[in-house]
Formats: sequence, structure tokens, C-alpha cells
Amino acid sequence: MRLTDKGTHEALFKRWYEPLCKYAYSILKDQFEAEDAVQKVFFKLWDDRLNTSITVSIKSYLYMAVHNICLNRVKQMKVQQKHNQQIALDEPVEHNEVYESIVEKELNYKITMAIAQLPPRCREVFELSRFEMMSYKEIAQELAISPNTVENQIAKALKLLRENLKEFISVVVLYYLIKLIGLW
Amino acid sequence: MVTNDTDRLLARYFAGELSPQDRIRLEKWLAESQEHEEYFFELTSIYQNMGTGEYPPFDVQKAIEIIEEHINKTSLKTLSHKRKPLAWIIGAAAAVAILFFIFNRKQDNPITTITEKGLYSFADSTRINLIEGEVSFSKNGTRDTIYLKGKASFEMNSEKAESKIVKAGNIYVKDIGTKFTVEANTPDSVYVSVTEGEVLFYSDSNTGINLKMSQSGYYLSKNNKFYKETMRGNFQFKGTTLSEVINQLNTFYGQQIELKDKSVQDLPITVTFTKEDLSTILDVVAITLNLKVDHIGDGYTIE
Repeated sequence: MRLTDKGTHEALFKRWYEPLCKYAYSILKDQFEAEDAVQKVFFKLWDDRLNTSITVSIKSYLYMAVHNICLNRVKQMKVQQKHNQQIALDEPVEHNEVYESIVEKELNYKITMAIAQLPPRCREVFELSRFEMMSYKEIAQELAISPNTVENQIAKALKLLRENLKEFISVVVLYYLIKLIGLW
Repeated sequence: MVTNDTDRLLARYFAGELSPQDRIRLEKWLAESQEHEEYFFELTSIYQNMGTGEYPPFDVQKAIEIIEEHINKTSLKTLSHKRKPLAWIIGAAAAVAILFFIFNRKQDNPITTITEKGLYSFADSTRINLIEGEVSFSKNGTRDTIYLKGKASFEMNSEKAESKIVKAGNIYVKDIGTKFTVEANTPDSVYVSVTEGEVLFYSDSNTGINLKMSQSGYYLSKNNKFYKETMRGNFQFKGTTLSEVINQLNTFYGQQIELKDKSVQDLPITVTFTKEDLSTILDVVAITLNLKVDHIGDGYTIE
């Protein structure tokens, strides 16, 4: 698939901008950085439209691109020693919808519980990767284990979390889909 | 099906440890089925909600204005760069992207550096479409060396191309009159895809591989090895004769498929292939038409 049409590009932008910003924000914890990352993905998609061939669904392509650009940005910020996780806590947060708050709080609780139920080493490795944004190499050094073990533990954590949260996640995905198409 | 290998691949994706080859594998896996995509987004949703459950308000309208301004600006700029648009688009459409990182730029004394995106044509018929980053040119006496940092596509004239080499660290792509593309997201790997003609893909310590039209391959620095990637094509045959099927397959895969028994060349076949390798396609064709396929050397015979 190639996206050479201006109208299609703008329609994709309108549909996916906000969900992608939320995804980027969950990684970068900074509103400006999150919006900048998503805009860069769409700029690139447009600039490279004649050379970019998309072989997966557009949703997968966009999420993967945002994921990649956000992780690269985190690495840059680490190098610059400017990454301050506290920024997220200082940002104003809007809670207009009671149900949204309830669903998200419930999800956070479920996730916290699911993480707590992971085997100790698995949880430790996963938390360093997800919350401290540490690389395999950094985690391996920190815990004196091999990078291969780090990868195994992260894969195990993802699998266990998915299994433990499966039922609840389907409800949440449905909830976000409904929000996305404006039925809520 | 989700395997342990896939779980590890997904772990690398979420941990930001994906190599260019992993990325290709992940995209292939995602494109295989709806089930895979759903699995991927379940994990994505967990990953996202682990990061935060609270979001600031995002100004969608302002963002739309920014993207529209960018589209309008770049549309005008692209028009100004189009010299032979149709020919270039045909070339570029079959190409992926070229990404080169420069490591030893100083040794050849670059003459000039271009940083503005766009299509550039040169007196020796070389054309470069710079998509991002920068490209530099130098001469070391007997051959031209082109350095690219970022992303671009190349097209070189067959009469002049033997003197052209694109260099990325100790990795070389020597053009033998062609349009070719390379992707190297990290300094430890280089991905090459050939649109037309042929390239020699090699390093200082490895004679490398030849890649012909429609072929692609990659280099991994950790073991200093070059790999040819299995090509997968899409074909729709509707009452197509066997000789025409072979013709199309030979053109796409750049391999020699020989039909030994000419009496079957007009047999029609109706079948659709999506992202299939040549071996699988030939097996299906052979079974359908009750023929036999033999793999000899680099080619195939059908009888």
C-alpha cells in the first residue's frame, strides 16, 4: 500500500492523531514530545509517500512507527541527561468523563496487580525495561545476568500479563474503539 | 500461530531492541493474519496502559493545521524537483529505501555535501533522490565514491556505473548499471534491494554477494556475513499459459526456469499467489498441471 493522496493522508491523521499521541505520551511522559513524535511520523509518511511501501495494516504501521520514534527519543534524552519522568506529573490532566476515569483506574489497578503477580526476577527485569526504559545491556549489567536472559524474562512477562489481563483488555479495547468512532 | 520465537521478537520490539531484520520479520508476521495483529495490539494496549492511565488534552485542530501546512509546502517543493517524474517514479516504486551511515568519511575528502531533500541529476547521468539526511561526493583518483547519511535512492547509468561505489563503513555497494536501494537503520547491518540491473554487495574482508533485479539481501557486521533474502511475490494467473507464467516468474525472481517439454507450454493455469517464494509457486504449478520440478544449481527445470 502507498499513501500518495493528500486527502487520505489527512483523513488518517484526523483518525489516528489523538490515539497515537496517547500512546506516545505513555512512553515519553511529555505532551509536547508526544505530539512532536506523532507529527514527525505523519510528516515522514507524507514526505516518503513515493518510496514507502506499507506491507502491514496502516494501524500497525503507525503504532510501530510511533513506538520506534519514541524509544529513539528516550535514548536521545537519556544521552542528553534531560529526561525527567517528573514532567508527566506536572502536566495538567483533563478528566471530563466519569466512565473514562473509572475504566482507566480499574485498568491501572488490574495492571498493577498483574505486574505484582509476575515471578520476582521476571517482574524486576520487566519493570526496568518498561518503567526505567533501560536497554537489554543495561539491565543485564544491573542484575548481573545475560542479555539473552533479559529477553527471555521480558517475553515471559508480556505473555503472562496478556494472559492475566486478557478478559479485561478486550473490554478496554472495545471501550477505546467506541470512543474512537465517536459513539460514546 | 504465536511461537516462543515470536514472543522473543515482540519482547525485542517493546524493549526497543529490534534490528532491521527483526523489523522485517515482525512486519511479515503481522501481515500473516488478523489473529497476529490482535495479539500485537493486546500487548500494545497493555504496554500503553502500563505507562500511564491519565492523558493531557491534545490539540487535534492545531495539529491538523500544522500537517496541512507541511503537506502544502512539501507538495510545492516536490514539484520543483521533478525533472523526469514518470521515469523516476517507476524506478522508485519498485524500490524500498536507502539508508547509509557514514563512518570513515574523512579518508576521501568529500568535495560537496547536499542536505536539501529532493531529486538531483548529475552530468554523468547519476540520479539521487535524497529523502532525508545528507549525501557527499568525493573522488579518490580512479573511482567516484558516494557517501550517504540518511535516506535516498540511486539511479546510475550503465556506461558510467562501473566507477561508482557507495560506501558505508567497511561495506560497499558497487553498482553495475542499475537502480538499487539499501537500508541500514543501525551501523551493524545494511539492507540492499535492487530495482534494476545488478550490484556487488561486499566488505573489506568478504567478497560478498551479487544481487540482481528484484533481489534483496542484507549484511550483519557481528558475523561479517551477507545473506540473500527469500523473495516473495504476488501473482494472479487467470487462464494464463504455462510459458507466460514461467516468463513472469523468471522476470520477477531473476532466476532461470526452463521448460523442458514444450508440448505443455500452452497449458492454462488459474491461481493467485500472495507473498510466496519461487519454490512454493513452482510446486503448486507443477501439482496443478501434473508436472515435475527439479532444482538444479541456481535454476529450475519443469518437465
